[in-house]
Formats: sequence, structure tokens, C-alpha cells
Amino acid sequence: MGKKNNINYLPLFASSPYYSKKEFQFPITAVNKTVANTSVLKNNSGITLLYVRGGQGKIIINTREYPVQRGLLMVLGTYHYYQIQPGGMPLELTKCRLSYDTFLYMAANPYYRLYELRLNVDPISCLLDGRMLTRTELILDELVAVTAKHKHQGGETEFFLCMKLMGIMQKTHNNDLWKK
Amino acid sequence: MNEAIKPKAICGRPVHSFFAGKDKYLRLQKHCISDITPPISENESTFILVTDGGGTITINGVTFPMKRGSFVWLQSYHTFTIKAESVHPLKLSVCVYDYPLSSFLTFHEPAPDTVDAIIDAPPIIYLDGNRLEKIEELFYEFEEEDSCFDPGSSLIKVAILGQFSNFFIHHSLKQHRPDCPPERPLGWKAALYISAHFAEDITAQGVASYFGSTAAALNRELRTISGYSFSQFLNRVRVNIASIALLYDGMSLSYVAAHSGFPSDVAFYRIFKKYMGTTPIEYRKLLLNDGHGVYRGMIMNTTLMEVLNYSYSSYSEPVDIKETSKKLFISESVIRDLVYENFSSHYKDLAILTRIRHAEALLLTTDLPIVDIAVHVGFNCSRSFTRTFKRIYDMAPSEYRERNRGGKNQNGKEK
Repeated sequence: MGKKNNINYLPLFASSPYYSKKEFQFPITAVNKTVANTSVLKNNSGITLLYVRGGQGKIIINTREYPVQRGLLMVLGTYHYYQIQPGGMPLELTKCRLSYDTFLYMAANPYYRLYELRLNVDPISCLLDGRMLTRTELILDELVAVTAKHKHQGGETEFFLCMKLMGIMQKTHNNDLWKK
Repeated sequence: MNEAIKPKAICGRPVHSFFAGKDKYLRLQKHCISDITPPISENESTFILVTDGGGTITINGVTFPMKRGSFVWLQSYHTFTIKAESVHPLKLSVCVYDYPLSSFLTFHEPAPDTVDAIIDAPPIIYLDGNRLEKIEELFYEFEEEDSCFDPGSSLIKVAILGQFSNFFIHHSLKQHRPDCPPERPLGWKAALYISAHFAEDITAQGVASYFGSTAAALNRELRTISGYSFSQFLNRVRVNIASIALLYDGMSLSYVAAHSGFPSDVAFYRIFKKYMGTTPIEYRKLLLNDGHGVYRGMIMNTTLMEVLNYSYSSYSEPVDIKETSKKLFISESVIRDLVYENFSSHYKDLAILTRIRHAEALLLTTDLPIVDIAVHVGFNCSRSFTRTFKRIYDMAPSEYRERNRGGKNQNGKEK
């Protein structure tokens, strides 16, 4: 960003870093994980998408317990401290992480409404089934493969795949498993 | 030498809005062409996949065969005519990719030689096997979302359009041989030259002498292949480039004018209005569409994004409006107005909300004293933290901790 000393004036071309995207990176990474034992309590910076591929157990977010099962997709913010607790068998998870400004950029897409973004206390989640489940798993498989291929550097393909996941999330978050 | 290659002339004036148009954004169109289309030149770019049949497409005076698996990406500087074989009518799947969207989906400003290569690379690629399957899958996915226009589906469709363009550029550049370019008619080469050098001060004379010809011959050639004279062609390219930049609301119109090569602001307004039918500002407003058909919600406001990102990621630093404005080089009143306009709340509340979210999480998951949490999330003292917390939840932080821990208080045993 250009260094401008006079703060009273908007730089002539305030949007330049975004428009030229010179300093803009899209570090999106996705990995498959098998969790056999209770994980440590942690939070991630930016946004985390978690998808449950199989197994059973629960996830504890901010000390609240939520049951998980196959087809559950959730979005966690940096203020969600979570712990994964497998039940009888290990949990198969896919974890996809992106930075907050990547997420904002995704939402600033011309066909979207930026003010739909909210800081929720409870994480947003949706339970997928049928065709949506197949589609999501295909997208995630591709995402994991691309991440590995790009050596976790991030790239455009990851961005598009992740955008599809957010779209699926947006479409289906009404059949929320955790809603009272 | 150039006279040797004769371009194929178009018949009649080029028509607009055959495949593209505002009402066709984010929709999958299926066309069946059994004879010949009029010459078409659109103000948007279009993806066409041939799903069945055979025929030819003439783009800027050069004819390419079309068969199942042909994937075409047409730009506003292409004038094209599609002709079907008499026995097998052409079946096409068409998606429109509007220019403001394309600037959203371009992540890295390509180097000038890449731009030249992209422009010079073939506008049609022939796919088979895995690659055809991949692109058909994407079209199928697009079709599945076709009748839904909620923001979620739009996200998915936009992502698919992004994948199309990525895929196309990748494969088209692979087929592109800059060292031994195929011989093309003068009009074709001039059209590409104009689309790549729109920002410079170019004249018909200059371009013609670059290709060793005369201005009159160039004008005639351009008219033959596209139906436009040199200046009309150049203005169309410039107007479309300007519409790309109009996606960004922080960009001043005089910058857009200069960026897209117009000699003056006045010329920009006049020419934009002549070609698009609206002034640039009206165009920006018309892009928004709330409620009818494809939802189109916003013009990208990068300043707002910077402000949001700052308040989200630097919650533990002082985020009052004065500090933020110093950090981001944005004036206080701009921040205040932007946030109020978009979220109908004050900037302060927005910044505080992020802090409170972190505070909640810490209250529930740790046994830290209140004062530590207050300082950690950026408050100066526990008093101001408690006051703010009370205003939002109507209870003190310690009470919140007590009530909400573990949902049903069962976490106490584990600790």
C-alpha cells in the first residue's frame, strides 16, 4: 500500500492494491485428517471450513458440545475455540483454511451481498445429503489434491473450489443440524 | 504478402445481444442452430461449448471448424458468424461472462507479454477425452444451479465461470505458438493489436504502418471482418475496458477514463453513453439488481473490505476510528459513512463486536481472570470491558461464564 502521510485525504486511488492485486494472496489449503483421540483445544486464524466424511463423535466449540456425523459442513471463525472428540471410531475430517481477507474477497463478488456476513456466536453449519453430499465430497477431493499439488501455496483453482463450498453452505445452511 | 490471405467478409451489420445481455447473466443457454446466424458482436464475453452437430465459426474473418467438444471463448472485439452443416444442426451451450465479473476473477495482473499471448492465442480449442469430460461436468454443474438465483447458487456459478476461463487460458496458451504464428489477414492482426494497445494513443495511420499498409486499407479490412471502422473498433474496446474497471467503486471516473485510454473525461462520458446507452455512473447503478431474476448485489467496495478486514484481524490493537483511519490512510468520515451505509451500525459497534466474540470464547474456554481477558481482547481496563459486555448481554462477564459454560455446565468435571 502506498505510504501517504496526510491522513485527511483519501489516496487518489485507494483501491489500487485490490485492483492490481499485487499484494493479494489466496492462501487456501485443505487437508484430510483422521482424528482418533480427543484433539487439543485450539482456534485458527482466519476462517476454517470443517467437513465430516465419516465416523462419529462430537465437536466441542466454546465448551458447547455438538454431535457430528457424515455430511456435516461447518464454518468456524477465529473466535471459535474447538476440540474434536471422536466417539466409538475415529473421525474422518477435511479441514480447509483460508484467510479472512480471502473470505471477504469471495463475499465481495458482484453477485453477492456483503452485508450478509455476520459474526455469529454459534458456528454456521449444514447437514448435506443426496446430490449435495456427493458434489461437496467431489469438490473437497479436488481441493485436497490441488492443495497437495501446489504445495500449500494456494492458487486460483483452490479459490474457485472454496467459493463453491461457500455457495453450498449458503444454499443449505437452513437444514442446520444444530439449530434448536 | 498480406494481400495473399483474404478474410471472409461478414454479411450485414453485426447484431448485439444474441447470446449476451444483462438478462442472460449467470444463466445457461441452449441454442440449436440449423442454418447461419447473423454476424454477432457482443459487449460481454461468452463461452460456447458445442455439444452436438457440426459446422463452422468465422471469427474476425477467419473460419474455424466446429464439432462436438469445440470450446470457444469470444470477446467483445470478436465479430463472429456461426454456420451449421445442413445435415447436423449445431447444439450449443452458452454462458455469458460479463466484464465487471472478469475483473473480479482475475487475481494476478498478467505481464504485458502474457496479455499479448492471451489475445493472440486461438479463440477456439478442441477438446476430447478427459478434458472434454471435465468441461462437460462443469457445464452440468452450472445447469444444476441454473434455475436458482439465490446468493449461494450465484457463488457456485461465478466459481464455475472462473474455472472456465482458467481452463480456457491454460489450454489455449498450450496450443499457442508465438514463434511460428499462422498467417492471418490484416484485419485479424489489427483487431488484436488494437485490443492489446487500447491505452496508448493509437491512430489508424500508426497501426496501418506497423503492419506495412495504409489507413484506408486498414479501415476497409476492419469493416470487412467486423463491420466497424478503426475508430469505432477502438472505442468499443475502450468502453468495454472501462466497464471492467467500473466494478470498483473506489476508483474515480477520471482514473477509469485515463486507464482505458480515453483522451479526456468528456470524451469518456460521451463515447460511453453512445455505445452503452447510459452514462458510466448509471451503468454502475444498473448493474445492481435486487429482486428480479439474477440477483446482483454489489459493486465491490475495496475500502469497506479493508476496514472490515482490519477490524477483524487486529481486534486487540486500538481499533477506534482515529487509529484505524491512520493505519489505513482512509479518512474518518469515509469509514464512518461506509460502515453505516452497509451495516446500519456505527464503526465502533462493529469493532467492539469482534472483541466481544473473542471475549466470549475466552470466558467459556479458559479460567483466565476477567481483567486478563479484557486486556487480551483490546480493552484498556476491566471496567470498560464489563460495561460494554453488559450493554450487549445485560449481564456481567462472570455471570455469562457461569451460565453458559459447557452449554449445560457439564464441562466442569473435565477441567
